[in-house]
Amino acid sequence: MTTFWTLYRRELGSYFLSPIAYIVLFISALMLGLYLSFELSANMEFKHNSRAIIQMTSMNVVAIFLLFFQPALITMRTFSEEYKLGTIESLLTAPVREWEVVAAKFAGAWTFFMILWLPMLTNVVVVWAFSGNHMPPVWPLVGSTFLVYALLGAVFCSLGVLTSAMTRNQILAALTCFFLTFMLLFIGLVSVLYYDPLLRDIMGAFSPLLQIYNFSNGIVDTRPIVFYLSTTVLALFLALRLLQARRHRA
Amino acid sequence: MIDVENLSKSYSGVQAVKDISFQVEPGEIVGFLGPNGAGKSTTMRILAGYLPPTDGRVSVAGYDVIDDSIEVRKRIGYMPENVPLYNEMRVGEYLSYRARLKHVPGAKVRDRVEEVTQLCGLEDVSRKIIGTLSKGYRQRVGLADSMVHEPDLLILDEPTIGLDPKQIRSVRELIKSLGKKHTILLSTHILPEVEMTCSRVLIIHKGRIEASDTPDNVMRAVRSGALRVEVKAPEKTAADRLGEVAGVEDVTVLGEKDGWCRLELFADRDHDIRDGVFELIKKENWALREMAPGRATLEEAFVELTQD
Repeated sequence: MTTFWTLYRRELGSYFLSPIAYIVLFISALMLGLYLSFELSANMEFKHNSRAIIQMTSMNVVAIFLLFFQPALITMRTFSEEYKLGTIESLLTAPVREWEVVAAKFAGAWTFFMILWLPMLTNVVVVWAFSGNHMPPVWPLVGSTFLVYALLGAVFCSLGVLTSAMTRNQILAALTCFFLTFMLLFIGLVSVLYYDPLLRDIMGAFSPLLQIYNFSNGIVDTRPIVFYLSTTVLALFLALRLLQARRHRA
Repeated sequence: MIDVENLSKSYSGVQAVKDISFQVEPGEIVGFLGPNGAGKSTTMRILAGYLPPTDGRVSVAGYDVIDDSIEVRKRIGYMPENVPLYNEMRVGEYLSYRARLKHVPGAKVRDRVEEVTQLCGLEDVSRKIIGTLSKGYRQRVGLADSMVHEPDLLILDEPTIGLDPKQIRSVRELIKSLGKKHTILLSTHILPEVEMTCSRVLIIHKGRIEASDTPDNVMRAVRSGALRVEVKAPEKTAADRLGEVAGVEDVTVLGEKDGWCRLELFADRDHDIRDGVFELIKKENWALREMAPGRATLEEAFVELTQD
């Protein structure tokens, strides 16, 4: 376990050693904050309630845009850079197990992803503070919204780790991850194209967009939770196998 | 310390290492030589537990590199070719990270990092970002990393490549001093370095071991002149008379200038022909300008052993 922590700390720390992390963090916070302030001022005539605030920040075009781009950008370097620099050789000749490396890289990326979504929480708190306690946060809703983001973040980050383990080319890793993220993110749209009730139900159960909507409204369904967790485990397992296969070929 | 039995490695149909066997005893400094592409790095990577062998058995300190890979890796300090490092980290930070990764107990990390920093002469750069270091310093960071966990065995893949002569000398001194505590297997193309540091050389060529002996014996195994002499005598007479000395097998005339004749005498390994040659020169009353042992350098031995 100590090995995992050592690796995890380096992984997470490495994000903060490059300016890109701060830029992504800044842009994410800015976009989420700006969107909220536009939304609030544009809809002044409506009566906002505290439930709407978290839904407003979590389910909008800016949030979906960030959700689409962040994981690939965060994870593209995890393995690709190690392959390219050759540091994978010094890493794997230290007394570490391959699964510890994969788990630590994923955990580091996922933690950073969650840090990127902290502005969602600050939005809620800021509105609470500035409304003079008229809009206190509905904590269960905030919790379920963070839960769905944590789950989706896990799925997308694990796909990113997988695509990064495939190639030493970071751009290729990111593009492949974008493609997979896109497929998964917009899976629910299929139901709009083919108006088949059964298909719509199946797709809907897995559709991230629908699930963000449900979770932020307090509808916590176990089916997507199981689906997202098992997809994450599968992607990480494949990444592990790729890493092992690469050693046999190297 | 190292026990390699019938090791083979092939990738995508090409056999990089063919059925090699060798042992390295504790405390030895072994030079691993061979032309580029001979299989040196592949063998070292297998020993370090990075690549799995296709066939054969490899054990380090009694542990199998496949079955007890973690145990083996705990006991090895491996420095890969070209020293891959995380460019964005600081030197001290990187060494502490590597120490923790290699199971150095938390309380000892600081001491160990300090010790290797001092040993490798990195005190001045320990706060610097690795990406800004010169090649020589990077090499030393790699070396410090390889021994931060006090491994029994150091495997160094071309530790002096790309260094200037002064840096090569300091790395060589360092390796020599490390040899007192660690067993070392190092590969290099700088042969005088091997002559000076290694107690044994392994020469590998086209995936096979061509020689495994002390540098002296390897050099002797290659046919070479035992003695070079320069005397004032007619070329033919000198060659004929010197050829008759007991133990001399062959004489080659290297050249003649102003009546001085330079010859190379060949003898079998067990015969010391120096006394006989000197007696003859005295008897013939030839003037003598030079008499020197002529032995093959390791470079000549290397070239001869790795010929196609």
